Amino acid sequence: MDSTASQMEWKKGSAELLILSLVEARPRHGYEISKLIEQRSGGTVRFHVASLYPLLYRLERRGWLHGRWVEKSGQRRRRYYRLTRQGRRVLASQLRGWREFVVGINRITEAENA
Amino acid sequence: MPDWKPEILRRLAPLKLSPAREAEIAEEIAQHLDDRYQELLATGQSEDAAFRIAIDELNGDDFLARSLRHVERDLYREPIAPGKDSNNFLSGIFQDIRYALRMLRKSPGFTAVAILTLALGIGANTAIFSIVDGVLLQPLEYPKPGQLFAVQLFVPKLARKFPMVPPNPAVYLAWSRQAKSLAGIGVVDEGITLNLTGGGEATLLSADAVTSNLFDVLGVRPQLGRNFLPDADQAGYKHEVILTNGLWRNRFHGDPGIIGHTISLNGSPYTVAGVLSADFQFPQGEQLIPTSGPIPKADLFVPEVFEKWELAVDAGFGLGAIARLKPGVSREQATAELNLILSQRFHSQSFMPHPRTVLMPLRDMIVRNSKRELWVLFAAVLAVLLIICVNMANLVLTQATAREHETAIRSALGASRGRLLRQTLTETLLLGALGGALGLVLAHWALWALLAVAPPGLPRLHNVRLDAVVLGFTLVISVLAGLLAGLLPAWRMAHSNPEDALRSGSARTGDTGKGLLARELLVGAGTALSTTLLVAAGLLIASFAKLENVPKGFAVEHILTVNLQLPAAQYTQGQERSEFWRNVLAATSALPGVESSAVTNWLPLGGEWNDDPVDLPGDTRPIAERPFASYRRVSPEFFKVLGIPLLRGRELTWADAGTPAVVISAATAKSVWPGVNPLGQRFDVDSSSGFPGFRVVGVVGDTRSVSLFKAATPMVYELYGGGLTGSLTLRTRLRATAVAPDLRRAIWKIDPSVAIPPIHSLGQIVSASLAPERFRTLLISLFAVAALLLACMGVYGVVSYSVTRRTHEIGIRVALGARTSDVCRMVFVQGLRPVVLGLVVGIGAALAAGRLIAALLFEVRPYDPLMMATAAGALMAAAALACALPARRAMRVDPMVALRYE
Repeated sequence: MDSTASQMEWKKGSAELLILSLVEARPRHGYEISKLIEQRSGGTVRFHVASLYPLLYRLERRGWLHGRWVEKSGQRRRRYYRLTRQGRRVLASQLRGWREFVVGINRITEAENA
Repeated sequence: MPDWKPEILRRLAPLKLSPAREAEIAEEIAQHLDDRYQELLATGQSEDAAFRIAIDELNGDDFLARSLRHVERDLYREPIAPGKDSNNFLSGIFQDIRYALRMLRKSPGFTAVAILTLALGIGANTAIFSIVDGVLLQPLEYPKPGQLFAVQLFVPKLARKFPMVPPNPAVYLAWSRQAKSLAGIGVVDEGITLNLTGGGEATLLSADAVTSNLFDVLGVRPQLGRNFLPDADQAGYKHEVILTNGLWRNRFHGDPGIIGHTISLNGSPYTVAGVLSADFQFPQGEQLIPTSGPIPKADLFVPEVFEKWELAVDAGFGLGAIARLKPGVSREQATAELNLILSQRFHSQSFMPHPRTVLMPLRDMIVRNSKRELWVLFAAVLAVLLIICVNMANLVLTQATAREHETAIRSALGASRGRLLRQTLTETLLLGALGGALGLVLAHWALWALLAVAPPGLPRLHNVRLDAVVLGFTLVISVLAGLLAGLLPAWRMAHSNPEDALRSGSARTGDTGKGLLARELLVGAGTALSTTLLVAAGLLIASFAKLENVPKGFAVEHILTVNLQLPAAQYTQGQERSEFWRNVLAATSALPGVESSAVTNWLPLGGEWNDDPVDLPGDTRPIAERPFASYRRVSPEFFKVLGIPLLRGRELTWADAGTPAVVISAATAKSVWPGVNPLGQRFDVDSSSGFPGFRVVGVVGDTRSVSLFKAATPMVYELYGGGLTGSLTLRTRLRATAVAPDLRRAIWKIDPSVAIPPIHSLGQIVSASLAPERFRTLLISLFAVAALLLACMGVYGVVSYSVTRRTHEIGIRVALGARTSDVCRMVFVQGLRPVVLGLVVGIGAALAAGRLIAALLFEVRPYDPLMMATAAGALMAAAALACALPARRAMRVDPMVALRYE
């Protein structure tokens, strides 16, 4: 598996988790979310516009996110996404699953390399 | 800054999103691209390069659309309030249904009343329609039923007395031998009684004698065995019998080995040739033979063997004839050929001068007497449903007025008229569908109850069921009911002016003139319909009451009857038979509790029978123009048992046996010897037949012997001789169940092989003869009561609503000095105005409907002014009652409260 392909796979599974965790603390707009993903992953994970927004709409549709147009004085109106109560529950369970998965993977790989 | 939107919109185009959603997505993504572009410029990229990199984020031409397709397909919901035209018709409908359900849930009281009344209306309609369909519309159960015709004679000179004359053996034989246009013709002689003996108690069975080809003509094959062989109806051929499935199961335990076995009927051996299938149906009594009275369903069929005397040209007009036309032969061609054959046999001087053939489709013949009654019932029940729809329209209209504000907002937000119309219609259609579904359940029960109380004479009831046709009907009327209830309110809603409604700023706007008019028109329509129904029901009830109380001329109370049949094989001599009857009469009149007993060959209300001319010596008129009388045979005590008064002369005694002495009824005396003393007068039944003449020795009172509908038929009573069949009549104060054991014992002491069927009271026979009238009167009355209640509900709804709306106005009026009586009058005038209008229209409609039901009425004119006035009075009274409650409320309006409230 070459690196781009593997990155794609990872992204698919983890994209929802990434977005949900980014809006956990406070509502953010789309561009902000994409920038944060890029920055915090040190540039390894990036979302195109054409992938990001459909994903946001899907999460909104599921009731995990709630998007709202917000106007601030002197600025253009922007659409901010915040985590819903249901989204919070999903995030918690996904994080738990993710952590267990990572621990599991680590155990296996550490045992092999020891 | 580049304009990203055209690029984005181009990519979104294939999704066909709503403009609003499309704009929203484009705005959000364009902002993102702006941000990205700015960022790239800040890192030192050229404008060109920055644009290229940013636009690349859209990832090609179709990626965005593909990623969005799954998400957006049903994410986007049109906001309900504006009710804008959806670009997706189906999703619009689902949205309407969801919205309608929500609105119905919001007013559970209205919804429950609407669904329940609709269910009752649709259920009643479904039940009655299933009877109409099964009886009148479904084809007969025989193969190629369109080729089957009942064959009758029409004799112009006799038409007043007999609109149709059943053919006789001579006519039948001529047709059967000569007609080329027929694939076959067969006849039946109904109402034969046979004593089944051997294997237990003797049982009296009812049989039809049929020509050997009749089942072949019908296209019926027995389930077991075979049809009669062609020779079976020839004299001298061994006796054969075909059993109905019911008799085979009940009496012979469904034994398939019965075929070829011999059973004893009237003391003679009959070989069982076949057993008919359980679904075999055959017209009984007047369904096929117009002059016939009520005849029990046949238990078995025997071949009809004509006696020599029956073959005379003038003898035995009483057969039921069924013909099957050859394929491709029209009814007219066949009629013409049969007429030609008739004309060769009958001349102007004959008993039946110039007869003509009438071919009537067999189904029409069977149901002809029930047709009008069923259609009238159907019309009545449809009227009830219409009133329900009208009431519902009124309720919905009331709601629509209350929702004017909401409608106005939706309209202002861009909802089209069509969309608003559809929305309201969806609500009433949904009500119709729910009412229809519940109505089907009710119909199932109603049908069960209807079939339980339906008169036994109603033909083809076995064919009545809730089948696909009936379900289709239910669907159609449910949709129509929904449309009817919704069209007017929907139209009103769609045409209301949003500006007015919004400007007033309150949901409680006053009633506009148009809205009030619409509601009053609806109340008027409901009243009109129920007036018509009330008048019709009143006429039928009056007619039924007259029929029940018509002077019958004979007593009904305390009289029991039982039909007996002697085994022909044992009683070959007249002497033996008359001895049997005299013994039975002596034994039964001596029974405890029995006052007197008599025997007759034909009980009252048994239908036309043995109508023959009264021939005076020297009368040269054609036979058809001579007076007719019904000839019956009675034992001496008969008049005493039945309470028929002796008017002149004397009654018959046993000493009159073998003499020409007869007793006549007053009607006979009046029609044959007007103004002359009939005592001692001589006459013949048919001067050409060679029968001995008669001499009148007494005159008795008139009776309604043929049916309660027919005024006194002229009667000739001969002394009962030695018949094989007879109806024993007992005058007793005991009930049938109390007499039965003694009677049985007494008769079996004389002859144990005589079957004794169930004993009936004459009251039961009279009651049974009125069963069809009772059935339809009961149903129509039920519908009329429902209609009256519904009309009142309609009036109450409108008046009550109006009072609520006008509380403010009433308050002002009272404050300005109006007295409570003024307020009261105002409410009543407003409430009763549409009722009066409806009454006028309804009476007009009742006059038109009178023609329809005139044929069902007995001694009641369809345009009876008293009936119209009674119906109108009842309706006005009920409507006034419906106004009273709201009026009381209006009178109690406190001006202070009403004004403050506003």
